[in-house]
Amino acid sequence: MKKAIRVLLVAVCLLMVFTTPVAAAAPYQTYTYSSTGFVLTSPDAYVPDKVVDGAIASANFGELRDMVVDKDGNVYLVDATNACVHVLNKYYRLTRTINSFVNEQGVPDGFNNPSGVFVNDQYIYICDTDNNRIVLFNHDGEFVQTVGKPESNLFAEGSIYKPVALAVDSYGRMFIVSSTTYEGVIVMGIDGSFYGFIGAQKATVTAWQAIWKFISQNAEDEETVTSTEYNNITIDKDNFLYVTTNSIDEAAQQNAIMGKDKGGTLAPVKKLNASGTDVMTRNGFYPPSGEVKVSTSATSKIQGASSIVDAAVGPEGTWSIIDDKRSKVFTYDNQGNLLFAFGDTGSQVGSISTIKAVAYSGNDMLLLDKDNASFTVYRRTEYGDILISALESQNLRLYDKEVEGWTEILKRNNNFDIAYIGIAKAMSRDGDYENAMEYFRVAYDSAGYSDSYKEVRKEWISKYFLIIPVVIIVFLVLVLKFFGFAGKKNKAVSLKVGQKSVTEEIIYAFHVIFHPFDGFWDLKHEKRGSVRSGFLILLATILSFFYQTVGTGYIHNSAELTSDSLYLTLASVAVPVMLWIVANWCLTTLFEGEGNFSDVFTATCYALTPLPLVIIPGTFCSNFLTAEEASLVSMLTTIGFLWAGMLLFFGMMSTHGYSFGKNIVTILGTIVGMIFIMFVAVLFTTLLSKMFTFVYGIIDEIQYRM
Amino acid sequence: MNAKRILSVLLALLTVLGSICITAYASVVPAAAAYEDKVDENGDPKIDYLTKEYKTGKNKLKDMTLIREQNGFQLWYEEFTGEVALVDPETGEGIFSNPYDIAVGNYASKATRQQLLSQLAVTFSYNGVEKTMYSYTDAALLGQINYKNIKNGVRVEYAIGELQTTRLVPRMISKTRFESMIMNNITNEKDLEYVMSFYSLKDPYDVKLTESLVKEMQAAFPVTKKFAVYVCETDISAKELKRIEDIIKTFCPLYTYEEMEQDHNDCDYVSQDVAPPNFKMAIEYTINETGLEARLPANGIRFDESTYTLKSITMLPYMGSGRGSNEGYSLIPDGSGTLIRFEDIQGQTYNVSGQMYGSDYAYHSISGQHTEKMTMPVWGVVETRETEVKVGVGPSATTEKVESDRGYLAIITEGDSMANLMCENGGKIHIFNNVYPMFYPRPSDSYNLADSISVGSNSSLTVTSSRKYAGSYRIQYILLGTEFENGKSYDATYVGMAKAYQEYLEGTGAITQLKKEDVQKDIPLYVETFGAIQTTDRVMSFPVTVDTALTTFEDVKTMYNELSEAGISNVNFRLTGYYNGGLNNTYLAKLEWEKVVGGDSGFKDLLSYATEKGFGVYPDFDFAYQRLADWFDGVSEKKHLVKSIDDRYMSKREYDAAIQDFESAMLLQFPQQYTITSMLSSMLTILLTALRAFPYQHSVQT
Repeated sequence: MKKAIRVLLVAVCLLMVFTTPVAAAAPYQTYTYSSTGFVLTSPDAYVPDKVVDGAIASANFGELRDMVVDKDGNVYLVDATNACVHVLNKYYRLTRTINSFVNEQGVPDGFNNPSGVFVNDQYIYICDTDNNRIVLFNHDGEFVQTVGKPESNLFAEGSIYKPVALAVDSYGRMFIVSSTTYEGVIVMGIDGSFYGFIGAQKATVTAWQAIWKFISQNAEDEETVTSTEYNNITIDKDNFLYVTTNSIDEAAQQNAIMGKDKGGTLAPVKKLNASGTDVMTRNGFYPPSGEVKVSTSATSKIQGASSIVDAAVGPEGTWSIIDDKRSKVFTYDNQGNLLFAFGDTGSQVGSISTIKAVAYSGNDMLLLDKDNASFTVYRRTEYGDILISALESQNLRLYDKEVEGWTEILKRNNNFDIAYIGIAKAMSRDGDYENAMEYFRVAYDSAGYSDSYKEVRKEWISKYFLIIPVVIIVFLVLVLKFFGFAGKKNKAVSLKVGQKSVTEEIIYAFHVIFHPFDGFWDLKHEKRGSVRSGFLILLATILSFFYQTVGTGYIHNSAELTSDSLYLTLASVAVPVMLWIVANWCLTTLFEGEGNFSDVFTATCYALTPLPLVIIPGTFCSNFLTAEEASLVSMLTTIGFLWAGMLLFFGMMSTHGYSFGKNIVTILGTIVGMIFIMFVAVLFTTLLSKMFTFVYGIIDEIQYRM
Repeated sequence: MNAKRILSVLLALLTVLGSICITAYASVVPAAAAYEDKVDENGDPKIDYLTKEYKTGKNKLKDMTLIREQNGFQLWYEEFTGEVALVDPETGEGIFSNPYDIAVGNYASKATRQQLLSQLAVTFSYNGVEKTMYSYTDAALLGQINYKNIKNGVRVEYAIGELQTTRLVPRMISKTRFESMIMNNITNEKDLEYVMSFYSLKDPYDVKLTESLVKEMQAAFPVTKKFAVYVCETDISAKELKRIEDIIKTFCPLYTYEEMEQDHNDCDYVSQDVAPPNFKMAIEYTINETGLEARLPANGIRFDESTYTLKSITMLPYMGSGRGSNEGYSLIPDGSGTLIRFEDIQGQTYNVSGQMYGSDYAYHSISGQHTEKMTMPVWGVVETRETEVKVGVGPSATTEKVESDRGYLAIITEGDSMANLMCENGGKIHIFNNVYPMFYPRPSDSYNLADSISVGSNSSLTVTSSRKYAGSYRIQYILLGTEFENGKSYDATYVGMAKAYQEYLEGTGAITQLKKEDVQKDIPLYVETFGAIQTTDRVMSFPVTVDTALTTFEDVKTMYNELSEAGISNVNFRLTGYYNGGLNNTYLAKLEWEKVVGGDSGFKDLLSYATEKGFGVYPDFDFAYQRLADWFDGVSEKKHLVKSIDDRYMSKREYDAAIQDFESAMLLQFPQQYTITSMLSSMLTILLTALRAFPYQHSVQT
């Protein structure tokens, strides 16, 4: 929380520094997100320029549903109330209203509840939703043809076809979103021939629904799973489709965002190729699915995940989506990095009451406001211009110019991680790996950091090539020497009668881990170990986990360390161990186990010995390993855990004098017992905390009233 | 005998004196027409105010009464509606408390027109239900607006809502008594008919009634088991009651209140009337040099506080409204100031409102969108009106239509912090555009009961402040486009408004004009620097919180050096977050400069350097907020922290762009006088050095 406040404060300071001059211009705050989900204020990339309503366009605007801009800057607005499409020129003055035509049969015809429009060089395509057809016009506003419902047996019996949005690729194929069709995007030619469905949105199932389905095993229940459908579609110049949906289960969508899910199943916006595969790159800190920090409090006016209703493709591979819950625009680059988010509800120029569509017109962004029957033109700022030019240089591989651009961006917004990554990449291309590492680290790009580190390490190794085998040999010799010494010592102590010293007891652990059967037997019967040495081994294990927490190399653990993580480590080691000991003792007392409580404790602690032995060197090595080599460390750790588990098994067997089969049963029982104790503990603490809050509440209340 | 004679002489003298007084009074107000002149015998207005078309202000004034002439202005009053107008006698134009042309080309409904004729709207709640009453419908139509002449102006007294007065009208009376005491005495046929239309006879001995009907009657009126009664209608209006009372008083002088009481007792009648809502208040209008001042004394507001909760008072909502069909604009103090042009929003109902000076952080929930604050208690309306001007003299004179710009600037001079400013553009509802204040005499706040232990539900409770505002709500209306007596005038533009406000502020001493020697050639450059902030760092790989310097005192020197090298000499630094924890400062009980930015010696060093080089250093001390609590900082939560209406500690809320709501940002507390004083004495020396370092006059405000 402290940290949150701190970050917020920095953000506020930055806000003061950067946005004061333009504060009067935009009634919203532009921002991005940090890797940990903090809002980072950013300079405005777009500022409102003017609002175009019916009076200004000299047209009569009803309920505006969709808006597109053609390459000449003409704006096409779909008006459902007046059942027409208004065509405005690039100065936003009405040039034509398409509302009636004479159809193929030579009969005067009109639209019924039109919802979408698409424009390419050839035609103007209008989704005549309630007439279940697409109507094509040429650019002189003359009627060309109508395309009705595609004929195919792939359509379910009696299914209704309600086209609400469409996009047309450079081959003239139409991609149609129908509001009542769940099978995906309909692909058809303008002659009405049906090509198929693509990109079916998988039905989302909440966890509860899944469990219920599992339990009930009832086929009828499948009906309760809601299918999701798309609500809008747009296409870029390479014929990739951007489809949006707002019918994914909100909690699931938000969980996917918070879980940094890179998959597309729960993404409200997908980039489909011609065969309907989601090819969206989601390399940002959070998936490009709209708002990250959302309120779940019942008293907030806006809650839950974004409701994405439209997408637009901007310059240089950028694309924007709009959230009609928040009246916000989120703009991403082609890697899925959030470039900027802005927008708010309200009545000032630049605020939008209900956002319905987004479109780019040259350097301007247009947002459609359904409630006010108008659209607002946003002008790109200097910051936005630099950002786009930097992306342009990146796309054209003009690296020097790109670095220049990112440097300019950082002067204006030093929280912009993409700029740091851009510079770091340029540095590593120039061979300046050390500095590149620093920039990657600032931008929380551990993959880039790892690549640069690899190069730095390569250089170091080539310089000190001879040292490495020497160090390894010395280390191995020392290890062998130590085990030789331990073996000798243990043999000597086995003849000793009476109380053993702590050192002797601990050195005995090195015998136990290699000879578990007689090792644990002697541990108990020959009193080769004791509770105090067991406790020391437990302590060593905890300390080694502490070391793992604080000492793991940046590449393998890029999460920021807080003082809480140490407590968490302590709890995650000590609590399961103690639970195991208590549960096992309780159970074995009932099952004729021979070991008493201290025997169980000692044996369990001795079984932990392999853990510090693998974790300490593993953690140490992680500082010199790259991301690809991480599996080495994790393999080592896994071996340690398996080893400890095996020791635990045999330790319990010898301590209690059980047969192999009986030991398996008691160990399973112990695990159940642990779960049971946990359950009771959770129940107890919950009740206790309820009671505490109650008493605290009363005291609080009395205090307020005094 | 003697005594009687003396008494009679005295009485005679008194009568004479009284008549002299009346004459004297009448001479001050020559045309003192009374309310009675405006109504017919039924109490209805003679003029149909809602539909009578007044094309010009002069026409309207013909139906109004001149109250006073002063400072070159005329103050006119309308006895029935309570309207007030301040006009320039030469042009007949000025400011009207309600638009005179409400019936001209207006599409407003009857109810809206009644609102347009109101000078006050009172919103109150009864049993949790809010209701608004308007002075036209709930005072003027009931004849409950009176006026008194006061020094420099007029005081208009309102009783909004029906007055509860015990009328001499028996609500239930036995048949025999009614007939003997009242019915037989009313000799006027018409009056008797009127009275009888409100009474119904409940006679159990009536042979025409069936048995079941009699039983029903006896159940409803148990007294009818004993004798027949006359029952007065229950939903009789105040006006009707008054008329019946008048009739009874005229024809039945023997029927008194005691008699009525007796009748009610005999019939076991118990009044079930709840006192109707009635709010008494007055607006005092006084003429001054630049226009009109309207004042509503808050301690003079009277109502039944045990039954009703007063929510807000809207004062003069249509004073000087602009016509939406004209060219013109409204100015609202929204942020840096907003002009809303009438032609931009023609036909649209477009309302903007905002609390003066922004949100009150002592409230539980601060809702609303990201809006600009209402920064100054001023607003204004300017419009271009067509007026007819006589050209030429004598019989050859013709009238010509001339366009002239008129307008006003209003300044809340008292009670501004309790005001909400509303900008109303009638649009589809009516044709007028105006800005007006809404005052909240008693702040009330609601909080969610789920937060407290007493209930588990999600319901909320409304709490009203126990303190009452005893001052006044005072608004100064400055006329624009009118020449004042002293020859000055303000243009009817926003520049004129700015000029008017500037001169008003100058008059109050809030600002002073810079003298020639004060103006420097160098424009001062102000630089805000941020001191220190806590960050997480690793000490021996363990995470610890450390103070990190953002701009040290040495950095400030470097900044100055670089700026002066670049030729910028007049530089002033505002140092924010340099003490007691930096930007996340603890309470300023004792001043400790952050070590990482240079510490105590660093600051002294910076000061001497600043004195030497001649640049300004302004350390920024925050006495109102603390962001972090500290041990032994002398802050007692109970004593010092700002509390909400139900005594919970409150924090400052800031608008969060991501979740689009107000979020708690930091603790909030009173700037306690004693803490500041003690702090000041402890660092007096250091501050004195600091003050000496300031090249320009600067006062430390506490």
